[in-house]
Amino acid sequence: MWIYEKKLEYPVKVSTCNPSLAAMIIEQFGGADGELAASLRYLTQRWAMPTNQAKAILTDIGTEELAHWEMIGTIVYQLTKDLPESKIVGTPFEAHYVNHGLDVYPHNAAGVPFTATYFNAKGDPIANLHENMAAEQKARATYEHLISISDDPGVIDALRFLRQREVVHFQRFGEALRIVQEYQDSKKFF
Amino acid sequence: MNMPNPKNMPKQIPMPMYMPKDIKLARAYVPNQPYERLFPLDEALKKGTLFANLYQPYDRRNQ
Amino acid sequence: MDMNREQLMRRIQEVEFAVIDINLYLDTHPTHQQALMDYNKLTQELMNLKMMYERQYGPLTNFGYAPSQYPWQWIESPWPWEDEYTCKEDMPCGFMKRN
Repeated sequence: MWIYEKKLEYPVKVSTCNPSLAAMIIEQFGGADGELAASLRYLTQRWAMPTNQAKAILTDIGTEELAHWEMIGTIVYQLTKDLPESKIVGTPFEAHYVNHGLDVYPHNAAGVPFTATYFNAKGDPIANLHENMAAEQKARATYEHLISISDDPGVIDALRFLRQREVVHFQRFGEALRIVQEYQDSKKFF
Repeated sequence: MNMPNPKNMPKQIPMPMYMPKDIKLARAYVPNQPYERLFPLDEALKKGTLFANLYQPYDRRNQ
Repeated sequence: MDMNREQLMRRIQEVEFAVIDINLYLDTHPTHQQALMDYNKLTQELMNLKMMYERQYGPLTNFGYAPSQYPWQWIESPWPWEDEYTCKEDMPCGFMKRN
């Protein structure tokens, strides 16, 4: 069961309209290392995790990632809200517009639609947790690229928040990995 | 901006306390995080973490 | 304490964010007593803030987590992605779009 809260985890204040920037930010909405992939990856990997700490951290980070997905969707929506066609033509957002109008849709910055092949559940908790740690690093790198190309202070502010969350999540997955390693070691020798 | 300079923050925490005693090859380890130095809540939200020892801000290169 | 909607929401976001970060810490450190004490203290503060907010501005959650006045308040704007949700007191987000 999930409960929706009618609030954002972090306030998003976009300064101006910017369809080109929206077309790049959408990478984190529907891209391989984006927030949707992160959420589904962790929530999908929960079922056969061997320790309660690992079950909890996957549930809770997977849930937080959905809140981040909502923040990214909000940024994209606000960067393109009420845009007339004349402001869209000739920008990288034009390709999105012809298929989706001003709806937000999960594809990456190059227009490739979201797919479950972006993540795996390997039937091996050690392999799964390593994938998650790599995913957090890749998302951190993506946020740094996005921060570098952004000129909207409100967008940069939200991206910095999201980037720091990747650092925190990496730490938690690292701790969960240790717990699972020690659990498996204890099973082998006793 | 009254952001604390990350250069003034301790970069290293004493490892023996936070790493396992017998480290094995071909394994990845992340040190255990001590619970200390919490930011005030308004600052924590702005920074993206409550934990000063996990705060690793990005320095934008092209500026 | 006299906060407008935006200030009250900001405070809720601050406290809830701290609760989230401590929750994740506790997931991998379930026996850490100081973290647990901080979690419980902030959870109480968060519950009070949310009750205060919901009494004035309508429910933050549905599905039986908060009662509603007449008519059904859950559907009322602003929804979190709408710009009046955070930008009410700044220049409207649409301002530069039409130039």
